[in-house]
Amino acid sequence: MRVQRMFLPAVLLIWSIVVFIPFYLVVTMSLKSPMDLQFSPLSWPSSLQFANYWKAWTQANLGHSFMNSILITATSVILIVILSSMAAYPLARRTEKWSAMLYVYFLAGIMVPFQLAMIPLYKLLKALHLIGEYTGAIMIYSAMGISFAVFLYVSFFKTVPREIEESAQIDGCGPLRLFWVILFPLIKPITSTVVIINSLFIWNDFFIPMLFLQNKAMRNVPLSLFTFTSEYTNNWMLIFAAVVIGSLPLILLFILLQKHFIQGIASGAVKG
Amino acid sequence: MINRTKMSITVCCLALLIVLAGCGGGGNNTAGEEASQGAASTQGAESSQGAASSQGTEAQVILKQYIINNANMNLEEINRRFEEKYPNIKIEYEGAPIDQFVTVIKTKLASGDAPDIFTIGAGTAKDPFVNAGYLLDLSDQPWVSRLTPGALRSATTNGKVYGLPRSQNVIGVIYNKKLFKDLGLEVPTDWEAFLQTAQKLKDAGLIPIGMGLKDQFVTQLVPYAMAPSAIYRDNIDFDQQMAEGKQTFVGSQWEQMMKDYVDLDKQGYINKGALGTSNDQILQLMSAGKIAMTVSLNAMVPALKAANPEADWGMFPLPYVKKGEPIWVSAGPALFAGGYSKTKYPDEVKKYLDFVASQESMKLILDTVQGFSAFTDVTPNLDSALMEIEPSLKTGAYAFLDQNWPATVQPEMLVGIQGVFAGGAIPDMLDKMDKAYNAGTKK
Amino acid sequence: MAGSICALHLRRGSMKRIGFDGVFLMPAFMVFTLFLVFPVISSFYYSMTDWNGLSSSMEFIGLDNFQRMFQDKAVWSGLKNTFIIALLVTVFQNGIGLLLALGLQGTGRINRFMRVWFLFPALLSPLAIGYIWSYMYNPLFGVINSILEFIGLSDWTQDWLGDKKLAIYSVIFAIIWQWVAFSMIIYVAGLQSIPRDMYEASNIDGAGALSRFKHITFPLIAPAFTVNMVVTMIVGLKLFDIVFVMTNGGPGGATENLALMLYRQAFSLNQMGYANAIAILMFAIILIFSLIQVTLLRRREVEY
Repeated sequence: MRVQRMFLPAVLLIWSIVVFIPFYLVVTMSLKSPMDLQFSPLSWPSSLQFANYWKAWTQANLGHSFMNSILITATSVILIVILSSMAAYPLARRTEKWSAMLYVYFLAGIMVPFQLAMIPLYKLLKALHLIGEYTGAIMIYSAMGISFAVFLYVSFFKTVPREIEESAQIDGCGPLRLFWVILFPLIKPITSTVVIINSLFIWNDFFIPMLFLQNKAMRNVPLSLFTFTSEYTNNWMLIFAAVVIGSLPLILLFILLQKHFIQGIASGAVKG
Repeated sequence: MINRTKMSITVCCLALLIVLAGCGGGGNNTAGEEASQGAASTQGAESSQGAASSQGTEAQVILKQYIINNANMNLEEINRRFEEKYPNIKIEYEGAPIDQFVTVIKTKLASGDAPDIFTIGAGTAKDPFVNAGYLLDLSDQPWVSRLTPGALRSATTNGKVYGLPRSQNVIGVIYNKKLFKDLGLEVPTDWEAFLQTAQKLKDAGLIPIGMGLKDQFVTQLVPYAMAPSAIYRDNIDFDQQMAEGKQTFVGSQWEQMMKDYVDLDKQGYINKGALGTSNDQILQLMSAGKIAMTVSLNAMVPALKAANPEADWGMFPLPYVKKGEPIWVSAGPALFAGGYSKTKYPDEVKKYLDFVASQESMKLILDTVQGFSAFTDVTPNLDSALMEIEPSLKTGAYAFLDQNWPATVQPEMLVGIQGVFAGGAIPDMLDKMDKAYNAGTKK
Repeated sequence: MAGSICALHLRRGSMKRIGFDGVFLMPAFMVFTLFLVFPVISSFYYSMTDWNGLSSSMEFIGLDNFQRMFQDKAVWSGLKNTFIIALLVTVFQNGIGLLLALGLQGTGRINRFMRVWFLFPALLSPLAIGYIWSYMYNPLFGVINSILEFIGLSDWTQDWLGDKKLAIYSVIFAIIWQWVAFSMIIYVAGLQSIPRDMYEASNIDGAGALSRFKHITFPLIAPAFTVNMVVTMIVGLKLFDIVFVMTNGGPGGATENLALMLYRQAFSLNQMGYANAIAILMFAIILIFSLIQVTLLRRREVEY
């Protein structure tokens, strides 16, 4: 019995350490001087170089990249949530063949190797005049995110009892209202999961902005990191300072989501 | 509860509105930009047809430039000077991470939407681009006559020049002069002496040779440095014979070269765990004085200097020769860029490349990248370490080997060398390189 | 049938009655089809050509690329690496992810903090991850070897990324390190959707922790389990970024999976046609495996 009780905390402790060591490396490297990094790459910095953060911020024009990253990530994620949750609802409720087929169709989107689709995609965006437009990148991210989000939403809509909808319909509630007012709030934890996972991916991706936005003014945060790289050597101190700065908005987002969304459920909303 | 749900609906609607507004706004922007670009192009055409005297300020030409990230090339300064000289041309520079550059440029070219000026590889690396008709013919440019013969060769395909060379890169042994002095070591001039030097360094508790073989590009540096003396000094036509199918890697000097390369590791002269160590880490250990030598490119010298300004570095040719024989050096030009054949502004592109080729700009570039000149009339200020190896370039030099191979060989070799260090057989590796060579020449 | 349950009521009734399934499905369907399915399908055409990725001309060569693929030893070794990565990532990421979720399902401050903490590795860009792990794994002065030496296990020190046999497992560990929180939050979402009363009832019964998990918790998080298993497997099968930055397939191809291989074929070996044939192989494998998985797991879900 005691072993059982200690098991989970032990796992948590071990994994905390596994996460901590690289975290320590990131933070200490961001605070080192070049000489420090040469002579003792793994130890605590001999003097804390907070100036690295300022340098990273100004040299890579991070303020500007931040706005771009936020714009792209927020719009894409909102689109993904709206489009996928709506699409998932009928897919979860209908039992006909077309529903199953459409479900697999959406699911297949997670499976395709995307790297090679770049050339046709580029031609498509060019034809639509979306090269060098935020809209282009946002549409690609949305299309990529929909698969997984639909998959997640379908699985969880199935756990929502049908009685809830039936009683709402008797009250004369239209389907769109029914969906947004009654059902959507019930699956908040899933929405927060979809938001977290997609923002992680979109926030950290630099390939799509690099290929489709191709304009210094439209750079996002990860693309700005490359300011500090060159053919043979990279300025790791500034890269890590920028990495730390760049991850702050996401950390903030997670904390907020944890607080508002997940707590909302625990306080009994599910009893419906 | 109801309030909250109402609020979330409002939020969603707002969000949707923002999205739609964003789309609309974006669309307008495109239209605007295109209109202005279109106008610029017609005006540009007019003014180049007529006299360039009138309204130089209005005919704005924008050249898109896409170059592999070389943080220290001073390119922004050069572009600034160019724009100052030609106020009607604007350079839109965008740097690319080296790992993704090829992917991006190929996608753009295949989609018919390429930048006007972009980085291209030297030697055969540019051939697929030439054959697909994507590169601007630069043979008639005034700077062509100023190129060194080696640089001219690497910028040429099928008798035409397609790229502006940037610098001449050299592979050699970079060493810590202080450590050599402390141990009373001389610069070795034959292989026997080189091995003895390594042994003495090892006995002194140092790592004699640092190699970060986890990074694939590092694996080739030693054989590249060996081959000019081992193969090309006595048989300059080796590559020609390869192309004619009279020669193979299997059975050539490559077997002994690879054996001697691996022996360096077996004798414990190369750092332990070289396959799990990156070039960055070698740079750090070296500037911290724990490694005495590394076989690398001249670009490593400014990097080491930046990492540890107090240390004293030197560079000598890898003496893969018997006592008394002349040492040949591996020296290959790197290209700055080529022009897009379908650019709307070929004249402006040429004007720009000509500006970069000027003595003044080239010297600025070379001083910053610390590379040797690809032009006969440009002499950069080089670090003392590089001046040390400079005389050897005159003894004899051969280009980086991949510049004369089909593009398929180098990737196979990089993987193969790692494989040999991980315990694979040398003949297998060479056999794969032969096959890759044949596959590459087929089309 | 679909529309008959409930028609669309619009206050300013200018719109005709539309089956609401269509309204719900159409936007996602269109974006998805236009920006993902269409480009991917069109790239599949290249698999039947000898296109090099650059030239304007290409020849139609039928199924030659596929024939070549099945004779290519490198493809088989890539396939093997792909399966090893996918299998181990699926098993361990789900196992550890579920344990972490069980430990952190509560809503208290500490639980919330820890969940964000575990997400930290997922926040890092691949560039940073490659660098950090080269320090973790470095054979000369890396963190892992230093720790092993410190606790007196110097015999266990290894060249984690340079050893041909070990490298793939070192990479897998880093993958799990980065993405385990991804599985964790899906499990947490599943656990939090379990009605409280279910738990409370079982607490009163005094069921043991293990049997409670087996009989109550696990069946109820079946949807989360399905999603996680399928997604980690798919992601494991097509993994690219982290392998690329950590080993780039090395040493000597020991960690090269299909995703890396097709990228190399397409962009450094100028074999766009062949690369697309490999891409189709990869897609087919993923499709088959996930359909099997979905069918099996869904059957479980229905039972309860």
